[in-house]
Amino acid sequence: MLNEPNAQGGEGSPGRDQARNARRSAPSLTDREVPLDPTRKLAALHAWLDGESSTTMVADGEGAEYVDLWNRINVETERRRQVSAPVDLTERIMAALPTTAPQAIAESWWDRPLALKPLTALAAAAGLVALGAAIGSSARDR
Amino acid sequence: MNTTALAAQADQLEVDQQIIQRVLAGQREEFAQLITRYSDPLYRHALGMTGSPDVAEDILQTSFIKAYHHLAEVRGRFDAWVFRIVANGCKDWLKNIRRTHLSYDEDDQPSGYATPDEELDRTELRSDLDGALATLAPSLREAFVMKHVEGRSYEEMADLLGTTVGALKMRVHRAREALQSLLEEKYA
Repeated sequence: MLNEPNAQGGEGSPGRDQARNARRSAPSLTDREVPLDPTRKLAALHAWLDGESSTTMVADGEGAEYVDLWNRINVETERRRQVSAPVDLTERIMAALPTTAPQAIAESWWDRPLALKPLTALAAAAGLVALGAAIGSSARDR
Repeated sequence: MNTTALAAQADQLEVDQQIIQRVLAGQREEFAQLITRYSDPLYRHALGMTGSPDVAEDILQTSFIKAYHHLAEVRGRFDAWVFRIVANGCKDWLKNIRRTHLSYDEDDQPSGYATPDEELDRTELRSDLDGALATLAPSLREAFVMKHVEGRSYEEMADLLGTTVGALKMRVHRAREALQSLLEEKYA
């Protein structure tokens, strides 16, 4: 419907018909990204819509014919900007949550930063040396 | 972003962090504050992306429940983190359900138009705009909704989506030109 706004119209020129047919056979917008206008003729229009210039900059240039359309779309998008979430949404979400508090992530021991005092490091090293010596001596006894 | 906005963002971050710590400490009911603070913009995003109030509510509910379960994983801004959960929920929904025409629930929307003609005209444009939006690729639709419906700046969008201002401008421009080409014969 929207893709063929004048499907019944028959008085178009051959060139226009060709263009229309080409448009019909083109893949849908969901299947391809719409190419940007290669000549960027609508730069003034985009600048206005981006709030970088006033309507008067568009009025005499390319894209002037779209100003009315965009004014109407802007009224509609402005209305949508005022829409609020349903008043009872918070209540309903809270009712759907588990009754327990969310789990804090238990950090794995290998992810924790290693904090070692020099004395602890010396004691650990001495322990390792003693263990090594004990293993060595028991191996020699056999 | 100016210094006032940065200060406000820092305050917001701190308040959110305090609420999160209380929830993690066992005060479950504090989570309602986070829902209330962010449900309106998130709902508008989900509604803009899906076109259905019911689906938007479902996505928000699922997203906040997911956010609750993973609350301990929040690093940095909660609003940006939960936005990404909602945005992904919307994209997943769009991937799974292809619909060519979606429209807002008329009963939910107050009418500000004076005459029946204006009302009819508004309803028609609303329906056509929804139909045109539904044909856009999700990334273009997302960019258009964030810019035009949610009224966000390109910087804010880049921050939330983790991409560049230039890329987003390109997406918004593409979306506009696609919508224009779909609506121009009827409205321009």
